[in-house]
Amino acid sequence: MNQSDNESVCYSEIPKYAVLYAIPFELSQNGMRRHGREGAAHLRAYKEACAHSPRQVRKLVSVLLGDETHVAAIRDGKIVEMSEGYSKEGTLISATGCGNIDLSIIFRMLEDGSSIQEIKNTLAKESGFSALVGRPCSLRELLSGRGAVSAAARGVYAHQLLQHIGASVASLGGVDHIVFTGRNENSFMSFSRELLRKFEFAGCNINAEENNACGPVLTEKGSAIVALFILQSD
Amino acid sequence: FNGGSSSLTYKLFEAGESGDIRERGWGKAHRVGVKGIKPSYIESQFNGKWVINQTPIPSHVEAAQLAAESMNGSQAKIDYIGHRFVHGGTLFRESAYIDESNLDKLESCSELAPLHNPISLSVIKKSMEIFPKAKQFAVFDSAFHSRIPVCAHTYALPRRIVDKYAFRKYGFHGLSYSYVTEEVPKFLGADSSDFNMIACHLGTGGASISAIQNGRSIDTSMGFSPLSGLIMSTRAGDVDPLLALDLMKEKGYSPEMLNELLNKKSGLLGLSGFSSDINDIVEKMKDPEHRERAELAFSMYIHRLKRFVGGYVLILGGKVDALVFTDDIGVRSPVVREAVCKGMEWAGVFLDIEVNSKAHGPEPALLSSSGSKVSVVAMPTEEEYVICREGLQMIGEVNESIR
Repeated sequence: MNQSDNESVCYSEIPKYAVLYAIPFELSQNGMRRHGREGAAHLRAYKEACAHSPRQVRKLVSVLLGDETHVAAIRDGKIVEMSEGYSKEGTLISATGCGNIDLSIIFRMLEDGSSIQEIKNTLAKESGFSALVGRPCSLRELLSGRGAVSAAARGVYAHQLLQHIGASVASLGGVDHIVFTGRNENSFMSFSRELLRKFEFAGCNINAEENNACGPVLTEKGSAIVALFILQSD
Repeated sequence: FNGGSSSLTYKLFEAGESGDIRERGWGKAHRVGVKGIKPSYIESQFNGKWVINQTPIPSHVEAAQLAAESMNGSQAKIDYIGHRFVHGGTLFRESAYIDESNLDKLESCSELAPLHNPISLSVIKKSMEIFPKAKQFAVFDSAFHSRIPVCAHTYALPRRIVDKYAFRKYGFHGLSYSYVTEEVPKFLGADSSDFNMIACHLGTGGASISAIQNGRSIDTSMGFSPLSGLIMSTRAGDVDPLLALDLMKEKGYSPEMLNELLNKKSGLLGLSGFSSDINDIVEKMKDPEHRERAELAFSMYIHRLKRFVGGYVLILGGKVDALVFTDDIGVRSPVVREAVCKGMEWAGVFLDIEVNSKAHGPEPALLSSSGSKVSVVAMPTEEEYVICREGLQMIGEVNESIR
């Protein structure tokens, strides 16, 4: 099996309603739908959770932090929801990708004389964090950047990511594990902790260790939601 | 005046000295500008007499004329006329008086909402002609969302493009959200200054959802235009922009064709293949011939809604006091509400299925079970009332400044 076959096996349990767009049904054939891209990494997050969590892993949200960020909902080891869209650019903002935008934006640009290729280029290569901070910017720089511009850009990213996480939780009908996968850097871990604060209402007790010294687990013993931070594989 | 894409609703209000508002009559022109088998008509009720008049209504201008005629019998002296205007862009962030001097400014907003703004504009112009002595003002659907925080209203596009076209999330259905924001805490006897809600405005045409924190919109599903967000009757809602561009390239669609496809042939209609009406779709889920596509359309409609609800729960940090359903489908469809609330216990949502199944509107109803952390509420919306209230507030401010 090649890479893409492996990937499609990972996503074989996703329901049709989570994969299609609300365009005329006939047009959804020929690949005009969402495509999962990081199934192997999500399933690795699931396995790590099973290995390190004191609890049974039933409903898990996996977040892969990177220049392209991916979110998946995993129920009993099967991916049932994903953040990925048709293209790499069309869902969550990335280092240079625009994320989900209103399609009327495209119409406005076409009307004004931009070509399809020009617009594609803008959306895929000139947008994202880099557009927000005004220079080429990786997630690493975004998360560690100082100053108001970085903070505002980080705010946009965090807001969109949080929405995708919330959407995944809704698809699962709740959550017992949240796993972040990212670089071995403090900024990645503290950002993950920051997002987890939004789960405090659901009994997510974040532990005090800021340096990740107590292994991959980010939550206190007995926390209703177990959260982990695992290092990305190279 | 509240112009929809194929209707014009109007109401006559009388304001008392103490600021109380009394409805004196109402009317609605139906099938305005629609070429179909069924005829256009206008119905109205003034002085307790309901009148219906079947007549051609080729555009909203004629509808406004007929509306004015229907009010003649009421003998009312009209001092102020308020208009709903969908998209005020960055030029109008709050309600404003309209006269010859700023009509141009309003006109320049047309391209922001090409399906909606020109309709309102034509009604405003006609109304200025019919009622030259009345003061006219506009109330903007985008205004309620004008204070959405930067993190939620920003598109991550190059600055030169964002600045050139004023791209940002504007949001719509503001009049409706404004109404439920005020009425729901009142209905529940809660303190509105410490009250968060997720409100779903589910109309027969457009639909959107908002996260509202202490009376202020902090995010909403519609964006630069009313095309994005939820799946609607014929609008697609969120679609990957690169997919749209590839469709143009591969299918040879012109921008106009693609625009038409995404606005008029997508959504529930495109998915089901037979209807843009969620009630039809629910009905056909029992019909073996249509079941598969009907179920797909229904499950996608619900799934999209649930994804947004889940996202907004987190954005509100889990402090959600009410989950509100409004407009026609929100108030009248127990099936939709039940499906949205199913599996939302993690967010504190517990629906009383029995009570919900019996709530078809038009009265407001509390639908959650007694132990539910989140109150689930069906609340019919009253956009015309909000227009009137806004007008009274503006008049009040003017009087204040004269004093």
